[in-house]
Amino acid sequence: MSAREQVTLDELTRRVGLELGVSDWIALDQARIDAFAEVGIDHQFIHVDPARAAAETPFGGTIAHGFLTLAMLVPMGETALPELAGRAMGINYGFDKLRFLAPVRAGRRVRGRFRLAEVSERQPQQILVRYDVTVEIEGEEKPALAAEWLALSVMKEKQS
Amino acid sequence: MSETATNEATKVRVLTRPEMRELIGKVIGISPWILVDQARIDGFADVTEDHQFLHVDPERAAAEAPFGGTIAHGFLTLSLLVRMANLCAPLLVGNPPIINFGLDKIRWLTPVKSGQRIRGRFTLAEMNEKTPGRILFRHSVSVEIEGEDRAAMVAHWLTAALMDDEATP
Repeated sequence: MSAREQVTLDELTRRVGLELGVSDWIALDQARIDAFAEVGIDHQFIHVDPARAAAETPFGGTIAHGFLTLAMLVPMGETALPELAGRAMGINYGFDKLRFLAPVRAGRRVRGRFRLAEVSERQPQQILVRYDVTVEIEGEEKPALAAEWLALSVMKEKQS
Repeated sequence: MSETATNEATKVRVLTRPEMRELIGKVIGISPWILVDQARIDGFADVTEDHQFLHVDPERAAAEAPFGGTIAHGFLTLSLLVRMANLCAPLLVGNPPIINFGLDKIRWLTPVKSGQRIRGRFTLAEMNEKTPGRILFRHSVSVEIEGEDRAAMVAHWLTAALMDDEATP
């Protein structure tokens, strides 16, 4: 299914401080924004009403929810990041700092750029990874968001 | 903010700036419970392309994860903060547009199991009026799970109200 690179913990640790990868572009089109509005229960007009958003905001139309752009970090990570060999599951642990810097207009494409900031063993079989991540908007200088993301990998039990 | 806020949150208080300022350090709202069922989790999985088995495969999740079944995406719990705030947080007079500026120190502490209900508890931590035309707010938020002691998530949420200064008391 995937051509994701598999790395050991040692290999990953050697990349601390380096850029780990840049994801494929993902389109945040109106259909996705509308679906997010439904499931996230946020129907503010700046997201779902193109005519009113064009008339009443400086964006020329609707924009994606910040939390939608943020949630796309997961699929972005799948095309940008190597996978830790032996991982059983991934847990979204938290963020230390997250800033929405520029709105993403409906129809724009975004991608994630990931730098590996830190790798630590939180408990045996639990590896905590800190990424410095930015989400870029195609054709724009200013990123949509910048964040320090903490992801926990729970490792499979070793046979011993 | 939007019609969403005014239409659905008919009971939220509308405050002047000094009235809002007096609430610094206080809990300003606790939202009604919101159900996080498998349909909502599946919908979130589709729109955000995150189909990890923990979220969408009840049998496999029961077998391979310690939660007894599927759990909500952390980003779903986070995204529902907007809805929770709309339902309980007081508005400023004039209902100015609100920008989601960012968050500090988000921690997902406890998984939300499929079918559980959650609610938001909002404490006004800071209100900064130094920049003309905007008021910066920092809310300390905690998302509670019905029947559980430990919060699903805690965070500091940063928002900005865009003020038409002459029109707003």
